[in-house]
Amino acid sequence: MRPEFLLNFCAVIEDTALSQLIQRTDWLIPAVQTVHIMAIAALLISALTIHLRVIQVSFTNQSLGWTIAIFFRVLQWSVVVLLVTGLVMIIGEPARALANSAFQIKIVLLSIAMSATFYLVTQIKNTLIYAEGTKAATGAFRWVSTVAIISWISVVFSGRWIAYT
Amino acid sequence: MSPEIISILNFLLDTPLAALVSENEVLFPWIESLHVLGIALVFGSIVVVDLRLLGLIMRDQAIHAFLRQYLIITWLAFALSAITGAVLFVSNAMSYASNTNFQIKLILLICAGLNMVIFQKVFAKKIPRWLFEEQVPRMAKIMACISICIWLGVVIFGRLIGFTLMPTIAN
Repeated sequence: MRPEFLLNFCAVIEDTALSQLIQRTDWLIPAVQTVHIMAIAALLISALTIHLRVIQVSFTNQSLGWTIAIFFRVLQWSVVVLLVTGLVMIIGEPARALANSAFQIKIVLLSIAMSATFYLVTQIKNTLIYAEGTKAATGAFRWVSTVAIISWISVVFSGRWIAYT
Repeated sequence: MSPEIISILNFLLDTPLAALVSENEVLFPWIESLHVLGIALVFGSIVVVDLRLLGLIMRDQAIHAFLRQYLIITWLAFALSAITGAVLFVSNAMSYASNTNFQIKLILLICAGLNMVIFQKVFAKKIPRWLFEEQVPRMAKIMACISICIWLGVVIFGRLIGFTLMPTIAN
């Protein structure tokens, strides 16, 4: 999707002093992309730990409440770092991101992954499963976790495809 | 580069696999996406394991059981990264081989492998007895620090390849 108003908006961002500064600073985008990848690693391992524990595929000797308490915090901070570094990349090359179909798909997938994970964590925190720790999650939670894992992995894929579309 | 290495690289470039990947517009991005996924999971799981060995996270979890669970992800992700990395290399062997960032990444990967082999050799039989970080030897903690540094380097130089590879497909 490349509507006229979006391209105009990209042009406005590209003309800002901040965008010009990012474009002129050769090392900035590689450095920001590296931090972005490290945050993806932290996010992926946190999301996998939480969701594989919910599905009962792995980490079954860890209590569900404990797993969520630790790894959801890491996941939240990873999302913050990803948003900040992502924003720098968007300001630096707005058209490459905002007007790119892979980026637009990435945002949709990111919304699904985040909604599924945040919904799941909130629901589990509000139920007996969290308090009892090792008790198995319900079937519905397992489905949400499966959707979340697929969405998080798809976010990584669509992110890499931005460079090719 | 020595003539022997150049002939090996040319041989790789002449393989049907190299032609398939480099000439197909869709295949290269897919393989690269899988490679990024693999590297992210290797890096993430190794850092979690190393931080646990250092006693910086999840101190109330028994080390042995903790390590065992994450190392499954590490090895699966490493296999994915190695296979996809090899295919990407074959598709543009000459450019990768002459790229300084790629060479540094390769050296770091060898260092990471050596670090892991030495760790296994020295500590494999003792790990089941480690419950909490007080029981982890100082040398194992030093190796965990080295491991984090090496893998940070792998990610940094891996990303830099995309900006320095000639001819580059994308960054």
